[in-house]
Amino acid sequence: MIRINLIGAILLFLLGLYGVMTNRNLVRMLLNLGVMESATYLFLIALGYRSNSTAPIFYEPTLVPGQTLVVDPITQALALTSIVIGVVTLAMALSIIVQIARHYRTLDVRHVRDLRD
Amino acid sequence: MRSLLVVLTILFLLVAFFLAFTEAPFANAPLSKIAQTYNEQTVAETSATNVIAAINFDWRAYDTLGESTILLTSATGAAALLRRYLHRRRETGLT
Amino acid sequence: MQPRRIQKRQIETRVEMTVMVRMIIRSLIPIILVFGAYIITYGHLTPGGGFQGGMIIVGAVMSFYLAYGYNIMRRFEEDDLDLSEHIGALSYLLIGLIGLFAGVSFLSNILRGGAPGGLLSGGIILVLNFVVGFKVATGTLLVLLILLEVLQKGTPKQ
Repeated sequence: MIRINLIGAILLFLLGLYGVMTNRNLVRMLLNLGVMESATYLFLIALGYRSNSTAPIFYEPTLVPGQTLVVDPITQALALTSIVIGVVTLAMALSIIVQIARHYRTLDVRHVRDLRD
Repeated sequence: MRSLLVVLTILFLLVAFFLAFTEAPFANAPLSKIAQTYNEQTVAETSATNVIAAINFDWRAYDTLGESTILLTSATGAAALLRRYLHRRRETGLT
Repeated sequence: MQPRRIQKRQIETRVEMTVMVRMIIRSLIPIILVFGAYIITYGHLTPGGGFQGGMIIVGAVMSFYLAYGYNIMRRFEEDDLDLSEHIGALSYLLIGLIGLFAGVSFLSNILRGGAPGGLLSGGIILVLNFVVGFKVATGTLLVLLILLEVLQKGTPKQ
């Protein structure tokens, strides 16, 4: 069954979502957010699949652009951009977590809610 | 109570995702017009055989410029937020 | 006469890994760097490109940190890495402006032509791959070094 890629991406997304909702440590929530982002990339690339088609690289002389069936290249370019955005989000979130840990002296997300100075 | 709410949310999202994504035509849908144009015209016009690199750097090079800018933003933002730890390096005199 | 001080025995903690790990990483780093340069250079022919090759180069440099500890990372000046990243971002813009001044649109492929499948065939794609690879490598290395420096001991300046 070809749709196993989509089902795998959905299950990975829900696994990451369960981790974000259940964990109390801030760094673990960030790691589960990374898992959810990876599930999104998998889903994007799996959306572009077509039957009996190959990758959109025409390096071999036997692959002719007009006649060979290839998959959708636009979703793959979008996934590439999204990976870079995920890296940027991770770096900024880690910097903010360092500041939170310095200010509140704890990484427990239940204690960060207090109005403490 | 809270774990029951978590499990209910996950189950509801599971059912919703399954209904939404496994009924759509997936592997047999025809390619969109823009994807067909990219596939057929890239080697003839830019003479680069990697269609995805040509999409990122030739057909849509302006988006890659924006992506370079957000990489710059991440480095500047991380340096700005963690500036108090960076002065330590110059004080110890090891560089 | 002063009483003899009892010296506390200094427990040395080594931050380096064992000699086998260090030797293997020292042998493997040039291969990984050349592989990253190959991925950047052949980005317009085979799968790869600027972003992927830049991340491979960062992986090779960070394995030095894993084997030798943080002291070897002090050789990287953060001002130099910051300047390199800004140079990379500006040169992307300047290459785009060349197209504008030549009469065609911004970031158009002026150097197109050449046999498909050859190394010099991409035109502006080849140049932009190098620029983006350089920028991604130095920028990501800068972010990682800043995040690692938080973990070092010592009191920060108030």
